[in-house]
Amino acid sequence: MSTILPIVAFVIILVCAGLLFFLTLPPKRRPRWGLRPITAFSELIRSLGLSVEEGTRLHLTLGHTGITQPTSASALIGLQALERITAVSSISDRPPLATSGEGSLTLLSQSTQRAAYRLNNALDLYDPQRGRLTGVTPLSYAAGMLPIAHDENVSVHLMIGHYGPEIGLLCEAAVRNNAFTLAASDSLSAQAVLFATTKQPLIGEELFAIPAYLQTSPAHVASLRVQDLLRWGVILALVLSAVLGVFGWL
Amino acid sequence: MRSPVATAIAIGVGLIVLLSYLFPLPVLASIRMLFLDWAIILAAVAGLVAILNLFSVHWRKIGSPRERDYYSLFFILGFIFTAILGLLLGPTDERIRPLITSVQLPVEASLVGLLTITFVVSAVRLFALHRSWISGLFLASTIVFLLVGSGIFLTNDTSPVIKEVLTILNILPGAGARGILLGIALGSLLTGLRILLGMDRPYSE
Amino acid sequence: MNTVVCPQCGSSNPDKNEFCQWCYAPLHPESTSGFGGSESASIDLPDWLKEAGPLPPSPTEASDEELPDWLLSLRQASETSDFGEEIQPTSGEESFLTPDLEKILSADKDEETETLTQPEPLAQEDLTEWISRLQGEEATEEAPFAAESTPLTGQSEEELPEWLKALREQEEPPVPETYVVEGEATSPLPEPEPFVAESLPEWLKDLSTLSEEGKEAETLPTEEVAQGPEVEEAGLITPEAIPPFTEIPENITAWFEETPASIFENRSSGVYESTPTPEEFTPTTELPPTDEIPEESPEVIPAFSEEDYAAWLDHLKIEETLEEGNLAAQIPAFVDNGIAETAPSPETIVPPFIESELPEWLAEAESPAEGAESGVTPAAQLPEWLEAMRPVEAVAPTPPHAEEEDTRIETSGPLAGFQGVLPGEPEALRYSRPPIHAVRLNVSEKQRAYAALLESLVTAESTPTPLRVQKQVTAPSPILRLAITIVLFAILITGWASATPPSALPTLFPAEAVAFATTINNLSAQHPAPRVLVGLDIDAGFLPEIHTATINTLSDLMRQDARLVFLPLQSNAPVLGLAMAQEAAQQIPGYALSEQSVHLGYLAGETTGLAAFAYQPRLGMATTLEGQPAWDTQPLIGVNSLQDFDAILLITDSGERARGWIEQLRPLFSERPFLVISSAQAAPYLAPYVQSEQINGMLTGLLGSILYTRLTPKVGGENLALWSAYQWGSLTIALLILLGALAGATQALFQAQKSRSKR
Repeated sequence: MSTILPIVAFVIILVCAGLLFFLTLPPKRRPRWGLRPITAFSELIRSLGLSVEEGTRLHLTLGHTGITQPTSASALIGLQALERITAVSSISDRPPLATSGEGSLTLLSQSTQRAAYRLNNALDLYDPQRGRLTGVTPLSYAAGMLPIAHDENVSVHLMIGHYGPEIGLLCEAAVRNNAFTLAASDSLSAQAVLFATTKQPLIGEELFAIPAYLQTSPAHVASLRVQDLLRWGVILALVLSAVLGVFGWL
Repeated sequence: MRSPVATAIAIGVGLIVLLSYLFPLPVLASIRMLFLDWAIILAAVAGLVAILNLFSVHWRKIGSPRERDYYSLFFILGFIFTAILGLLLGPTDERIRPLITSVQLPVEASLVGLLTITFVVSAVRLFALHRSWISGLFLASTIVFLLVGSGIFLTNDTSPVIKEVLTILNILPGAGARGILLGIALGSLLTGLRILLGMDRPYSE
Repeated sequence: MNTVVCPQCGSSNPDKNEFCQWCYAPLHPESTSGFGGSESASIDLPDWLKEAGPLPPSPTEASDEELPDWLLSLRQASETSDFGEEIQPTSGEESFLTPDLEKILSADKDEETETLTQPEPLAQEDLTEWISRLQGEEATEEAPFAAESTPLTGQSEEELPEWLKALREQEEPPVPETYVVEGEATSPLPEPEPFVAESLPEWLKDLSTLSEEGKEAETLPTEEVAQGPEVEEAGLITPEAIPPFTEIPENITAWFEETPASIFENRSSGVYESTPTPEEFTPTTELPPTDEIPEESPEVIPAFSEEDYAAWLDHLKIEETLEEGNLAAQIPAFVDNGIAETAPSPETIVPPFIESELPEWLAEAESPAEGAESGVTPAAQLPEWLEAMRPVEAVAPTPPHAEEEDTRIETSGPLAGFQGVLPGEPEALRYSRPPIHAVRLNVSEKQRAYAALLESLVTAESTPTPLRVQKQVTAPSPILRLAITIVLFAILITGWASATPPSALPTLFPAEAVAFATTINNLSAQHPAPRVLVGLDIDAGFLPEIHTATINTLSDLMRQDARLVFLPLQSNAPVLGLAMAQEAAQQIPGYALSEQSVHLGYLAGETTGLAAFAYQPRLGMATTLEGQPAWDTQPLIGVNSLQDFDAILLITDSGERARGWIEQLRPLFSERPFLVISSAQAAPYLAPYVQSEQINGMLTGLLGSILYTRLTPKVGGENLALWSAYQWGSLTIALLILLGALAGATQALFQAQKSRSKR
């Protein structure tokens, strides 16, 4: 690794952090940006309400990636969604259930749920067994979720995390039980499977927009803005490098 | 602010690991190694705790009057049997190995086979799910790459035109994947930054 | 003509007048002491006020020397009464009255403000004393007034004096026992308010004593008024107790003789136009001479008939209880004439009730002829529609005080000397009925539109809205699922059994597959007994896909006497690694597996563990799978870093996990071969790394196994059965998807046509 690359990477990180801080501040003169409507989120909010009213359970699965993996970003997004959803539906007869396929992620899901209950002053309602490990391998993890889909009166399945194609098994079970499914993953193979098996798939980096659409905090909206800016920067860099390469200047 | 100590620790450790990766100074590298060792141990312990959680969930299901699940009894029995045998004989014992190769591997392989059927059924009914041009494109690309992946075009009988087309087609998945992965990488970068800056704290209650 | 300015009211008076003709204040204040004492005024007043002159004298504080004798005697008498201290004349007009009349007025006012419906009965002693005095005088005295009044009772109306006629006309209306107020149920009249005996003027008391002798002859009708022993016991004044107006005291006549006539003339021509003139007021000017009255009168005839007195008392009581506050009406007619400002002419009186609310007797009392005579259109002549439209305030009872001009003069404070500065009565006394608003609102079109919008919003809130039915994803029918399963199984089994693939074996090879095979088979040429790190990052379920390629690769490495170091990153990978190594070793009989290979323990933490292992392999994984020290084994002797390995072979089913290997290990493993055997699902993900040569060779899926077998001929040859089943299965699936797509498109087309035809 050349010496210039770490410096460039460090500068990029600093710029991103500065943009994140700046855009997180409450807007005074700069215009407010709105989020484009995504049908999946409006359907999700509606399904959440129906779930609470009907007394059915909401199941959020976080994938089987470890928290120390490069793919852990999707799991962190899932945890933020879990906190928000637990906060809004903790009073339900059947509180949300979180499943995962990795040990550290299971502990974090329990911790997140506990935090949500504590913030709602309902810590006595917290049950640590609502954060479960269903399997330590991808396929055993998927197999462990099937009984939940069939037997625990789940009406909403949220799949936010890193999966393989095995997530198709859960989608199939959800369809059989007429449950609403919203799925987002950073895995290419999982995205292909989810597109074919779910009604509301989120493709690509739409995964990282989930906290912003669930109104978790202003930082998530700002993160989306920075992500957009960076994307345009990457596009510009790719075009420039292609032009320079064609002319032999690179 | 919730758990300020945990937040400070998380930010400090994250910054040290990041800086040690970008600027591999000996001091930073040694500290990073220490943190990585702790992370490995904690991950292993977390796995063990999660497995115990899995056991307790099924144990509770057996005794739960509301959601009693008798299949959990099979899980409890299999768990105890494998754990005792593995602890006594070790993972390299010839008598332990069939538990993986003769039980787990076929079961998971059959699940993959089940996935194949599920995907075929889903693809057949894709128009019922998404009635749009994207669905048509999705199905067309699925068919094309299924044929390309089957190797029927990897013969000398294939015309040069098809060979050129296949060459171009082989580039498309990589290009699309790069685009998606770039977006995911940007999202991952900002997600990590939010944790480094203390904006997201999944570790604190 | 020289004029003198009244120091109290500021009006001009002839120089000869000693009293102001307007306010009857002394016109020479230097001879009087100011109100409250001049000394105190001179001490307390500011300089500018001192320079303005002394305070105007109050009539009550005027020196006694300037008062007439009769008034002086009355003053002295009133000072001894109980109510003397309460009488506080505030204006010169009130001072025109005698102190006794002022007592009556003030007492009435006090009663009015306190309680009108609960008259406090007079002490019986006071009443009896007063009555006895009256009766005694009537019985014994041959009063000229009584003699004068004798012919009145028997005379015709024409013989009556004018002022008496006017009085009689005013008191003629009969008083009903009940009255109606705004349609409410009729209620009996309240008890007539008794006269307080002590509030009667002294001269009137004297009159009553004069007429005591004629008491026996007085037989006033008792049917129309409340009377009887109860009333007497209660201290109430009965008509019998009312003294006949038989005599005018000498002091009054003397005072009238002494008073300049100009006073009365000015009064009649000034602001008191509507008030009766003193001539009208003074009965002596109209009364016949006393010598014309026969000495021997069979009975004492009062100046007013008994009916008149009874009517007058009732009328007085009615007006009090109606809360109209008409003070003038409470005063006897003959006194009323003397109160200038409280005696408006009948033409100017605004009726206290709306026409329709008047009781019958009161409506009848208002003679239309009067209205016609005065030129005022009677209210009854208004058209009904106009009457209905008139504002309520226009006909609402107006407090009599509202029409009074406040002529009181402030006697103290910085406003001393000013007239009518402060309101003469609190607003609370101004009674008016609450306005009646029309039910129909005047709303504009805009307001009506807003109201309609609001109404629609409220209606929409209460109207149940059906939930939008979400288009559910229907599960595929079991028949379809079963049919597809049967078809697939049939094709796969048939292809496996026939071992005849639909196409010939591959003759074209992808570059990464060729690079993979070349690198593996040339390792020993570069490094004898190459040391290869085999990464096992695979799940058991996906192993069959790459099992053949893995076994063939391992066997080729064993053939080159390679030292294999297995590093598992999945929980079941150690066992899978052991099994595959043993299977591969079975193809190479001379390979010492236990000596040439080592199985490191499970590396937890995945990418984190990899990072630690990449930087310091000995610290990253110190033991073997059996728990022995790993770095003392034969394959790892001399290995201190990642660079000591000759090649890295990664067996994985996941592109993401492969990325972790590349990102963590590749920077520390430059210019050495990095080879990958992956599942087909990871191929698109790893393609960029192949193109960027971070991966030097790659085999993917079952196709990779066939390609590798074709590139590196093996003893067993190609597995044609597997290849045939794979190709037939792929073609069948493609065909099923195509059929499903066509069916879906046809269904969508039919639905679109159906919806179009419905429109």
